[in-house]
Amino acid sequence: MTNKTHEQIFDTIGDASITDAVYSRRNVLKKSSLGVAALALSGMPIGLAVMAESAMAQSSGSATSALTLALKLELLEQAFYQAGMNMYASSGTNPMFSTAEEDAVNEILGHENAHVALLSSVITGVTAPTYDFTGGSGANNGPFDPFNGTDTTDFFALAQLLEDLGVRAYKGQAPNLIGDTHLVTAFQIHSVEARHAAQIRTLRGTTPWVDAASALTDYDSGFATAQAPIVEAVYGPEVAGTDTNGQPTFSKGEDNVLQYSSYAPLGYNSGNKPAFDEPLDATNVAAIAALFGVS
Amino acid sequence: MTGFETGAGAGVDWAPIEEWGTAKNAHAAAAIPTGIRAARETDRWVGIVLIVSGSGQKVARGANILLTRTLPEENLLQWDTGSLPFRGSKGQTGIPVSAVSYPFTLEQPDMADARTEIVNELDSILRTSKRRDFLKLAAMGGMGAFFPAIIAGCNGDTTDPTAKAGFNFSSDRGALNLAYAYTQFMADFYARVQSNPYVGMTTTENGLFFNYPGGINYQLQAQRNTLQNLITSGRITDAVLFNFTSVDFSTRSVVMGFAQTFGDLGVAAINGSVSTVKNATNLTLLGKIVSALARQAAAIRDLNDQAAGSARTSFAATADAQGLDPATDPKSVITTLQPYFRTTLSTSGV
Repeated sequence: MTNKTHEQIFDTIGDASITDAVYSRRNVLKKSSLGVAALALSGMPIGLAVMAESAMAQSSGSATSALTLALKLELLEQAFYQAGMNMYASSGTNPMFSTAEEDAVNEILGHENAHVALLSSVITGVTAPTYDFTGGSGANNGPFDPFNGTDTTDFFALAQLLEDLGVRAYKGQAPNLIGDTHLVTAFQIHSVEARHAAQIRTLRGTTPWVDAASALTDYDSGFATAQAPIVEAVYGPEVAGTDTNGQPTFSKGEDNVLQYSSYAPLGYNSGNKPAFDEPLDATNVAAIAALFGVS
Repeated sequence: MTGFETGAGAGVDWAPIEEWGTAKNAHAAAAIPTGIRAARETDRWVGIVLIVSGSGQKVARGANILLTRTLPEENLLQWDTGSLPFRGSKGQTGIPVSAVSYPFTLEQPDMADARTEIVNELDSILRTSKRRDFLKLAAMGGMGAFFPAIIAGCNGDTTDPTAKAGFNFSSDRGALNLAYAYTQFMADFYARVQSNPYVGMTTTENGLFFNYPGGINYQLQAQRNTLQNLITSGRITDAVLFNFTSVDFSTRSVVMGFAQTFGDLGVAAINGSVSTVKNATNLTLLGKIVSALARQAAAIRDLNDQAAGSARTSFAATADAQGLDPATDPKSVITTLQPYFRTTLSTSGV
């Protein structure tokens, strides 16, 4: 019997050679994931094919463009929630928000106002355009009708999309803010947007997190058929299929089951989609925002 | 103590609840298959067994057996015992060892529930003082000859390699390790909530916590495991030790208050550490996790609003007048966490 302590023994276990051997599988997987960015995006809705650009573009933008995109989205949300409060928070011929709905929208609007004010202090020259809340690219003939005066279904459906899109957009822009003084601020807004998304989703009777199964169509629950292309754009894009290892191919959408070096079925739980919100690159975000009149 | 063959011969069903991967031995992995088994009688589980069948095989110098538990089935749970102190000395020849067991009884015939319980039991054994008992059993079972240094180290030695976790923020590793410690912490918390549910847990709450795979506990496990997988070097211990003695898990308000406070803290902790991250991949991973944590925290807050019968306005009440969630500096985060950690936390580089 020796007198070695736990500490000494554990120091030995930390040997690099051992660690390398232990994690060799990870390295193999990491290598196998390098080629995924080159995969073609074949599953895109036809009308949104313009968005099918590489997500890698998000790493080449500047901090200014990142914050400009953020401000445009915040202005869109601000106008959307303000219109919602104007229409549904007071009695009249229109249906009214429930108390919980009005509380939520009011809180969220307050935050969006603050975000606009904050970002406007950094980014100048961005003003609110005339929005098309139908999602019709300015033609006002899109699949959403959030201010129809009959019910608030589309209002909250669109609210969910805008919030979840905002979360993805900030996340996608984070790498452009590395080393920038506004990185932390962007993260502080980002998590507030995630809280908004959770509450809107809860009020809609779905999970607070994006909890879709592998098929992209599962995202469409609670949306009209005509809205599906926009819904899929917000939560996609998806690349269907399997790789040479028989594993699901990498997806840039919220149905991603591959977190870095590990595949979902192999025990690292990376296939747990709600645990990881996915980023969306500026090109795709801008294309979706353009549907609502953002230029 | 029950030997593997003996147990099987006695009519106990040694169910292969999982494979513990393969022996992660740098030099002799193929030679030392290992496994973990649970002994199941008709209506109860009566023991867990660590199998080390290294019969006649020469253990090469510096050989370490790191048992990495993976569950191929459904990714239900994953637990790495990478810090287990099993080690063979230079040139030592392993003697035939079939199995050692740690006996316990669990009146829970259901496989899925039992798995959780067994894992918790294993976790407890291997993380706490019970480990010494386990290792003594291992010695009696013949593993002592295999791992003499370990057994010696267990005699009255209170030094534990999981006793310290340092977060050095001079590289990305600090923020990643802090997130890793945090997800270990909260995954452990929810495992305790699951095994000891508070009185009056609603269906909604239960589902939010424990639905598979979207439940908060599974999210945290997935985040923890992915961080463990991502931090390839300089990772803190995979077995951070916690102290939940001050938490009354039987009381709803205590558990839900804790879930809210520390759910918010996780968000603030990542927000407060991202300025130290330089690599886009690492930053994006933290981004992916922090918004999921924020959704969890908002959901907990809304449940607490509803339970209190107050206006449902708390979901994002963490935001300040500028609409910003807190970004708490790592030192403050650790100060808040420390009372619930037996592992001593420290920071540097910030």
